[in-house]
Amino acid sequence: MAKPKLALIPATQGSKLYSVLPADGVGDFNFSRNTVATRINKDGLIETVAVGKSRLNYPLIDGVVNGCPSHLLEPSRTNLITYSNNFDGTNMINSAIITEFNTTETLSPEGINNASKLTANSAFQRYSFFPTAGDNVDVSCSVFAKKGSASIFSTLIIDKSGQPISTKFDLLNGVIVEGGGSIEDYGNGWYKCSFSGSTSSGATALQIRPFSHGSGFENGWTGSNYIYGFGASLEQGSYATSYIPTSGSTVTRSAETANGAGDASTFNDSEGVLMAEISALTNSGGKWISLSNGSTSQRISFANENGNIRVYIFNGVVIWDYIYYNINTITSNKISLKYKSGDYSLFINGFKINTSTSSLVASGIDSLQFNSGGGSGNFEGNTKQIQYFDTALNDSDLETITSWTSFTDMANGQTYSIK
Amino acid sequence: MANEIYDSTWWGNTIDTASSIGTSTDMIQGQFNMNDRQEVEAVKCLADTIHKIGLQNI
Repeated sequence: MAKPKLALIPATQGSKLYSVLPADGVGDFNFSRNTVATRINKDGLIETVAVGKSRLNYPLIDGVVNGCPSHLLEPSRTNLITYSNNFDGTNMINSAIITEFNTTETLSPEGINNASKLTANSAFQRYSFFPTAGDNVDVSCSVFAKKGSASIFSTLIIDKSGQPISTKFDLLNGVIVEGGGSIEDYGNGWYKCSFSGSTSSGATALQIRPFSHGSGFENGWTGSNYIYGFGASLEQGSYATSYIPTSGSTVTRSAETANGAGDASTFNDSEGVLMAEISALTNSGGKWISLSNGSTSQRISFANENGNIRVYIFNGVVIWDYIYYNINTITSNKISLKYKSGDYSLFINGFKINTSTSSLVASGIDSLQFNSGGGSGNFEGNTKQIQYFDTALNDSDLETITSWTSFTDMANGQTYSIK
Repeated sequence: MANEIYDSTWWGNTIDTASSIGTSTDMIQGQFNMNDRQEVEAVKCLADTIHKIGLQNI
């Protein structure tokens, strides 16, 4: 098999996404993010990453780091909770809960003593936050919680009509027992509890009910029952993103971009293969990876688009536009797009999905972008690797580079827990 | 001893996978150059993936 001309293997953080090939660094991507952000580091802990520095995010399986990191690229998001880690602060109401800040009884998901112990004081316990969100918007909530003597934990978004969107989490078994959302194991007993919803008339309150024992979402625990809490977020958006700490005001994590890898000598207009191992953050929108001339006028590209994988090759006219529907883009997929006059093909996870015999090709290709080719359609998701070959590989090679090498490799790559 | 080097040092990883890369010296050089531009954090991941790519290239 030919050797890749460009290879991006996530292994370091910095002002670029650093490509190991070409060896001279011309394959590095220019990276941009104007704010700090957080990641899961190699020890499985939440860690702040400096302004302008790319993120290596490590996968957690059953609460421990398992496998190699991804480059994480996320859209801009704002945490509307003004004191994300203060469960008894300004702009909120504590009802009947004793809050012990910086408890020494457990380390937080950051690995330090900055979590809170939340102890029931009397009936109807809840924390009510009052974030400012617009009307008719999608909102997503996430809170980190750890079982104490109690283990059932609820969150509710109550909109202006008083209609709650709610989810109940079981911190003992790591499952959702009522409502929709996700519960992710962050290790040491901590779970990131997330859920999303659309409010017809705008969210007015986020409630955290740490002791929702029994039916429904009302409290049931009394006495001295307790759990641990850390890091609350409410974002305007259809899914929760990485933790955005706040301390007195809302905080925005700006959008991340990574573009401009390679030059005209890196890429072959006539033939080649673009391979990526990627996963999406959501099943909506188009999140592109492209070979282009710096604009969308000449592009060889594919995307996670609305839960599907779309191929789009264009040189002034559409050369190939194809959508593959039968796939889950939230899990990691290995995708290869071969281009050559009369010989186009798409391989995904070891299978030839479709072909085109178009005789047209794009021209003037001089860069690899995490967008649709010219600055829009930014890729948002996790990238495990990118390879570019300047020759058209045969089917056997395309099958090889898009296949998992073992069951364990596949399971870990898709962050499945092997039981 | 080799495994200890492989697991713990940048040089060890690169050297340990060098044989699989064969004559593709730029795959070795690329790792060193990348580390010069920005210190590599996921040392073993980088070396292991280069190792896989190297095996495909034989």
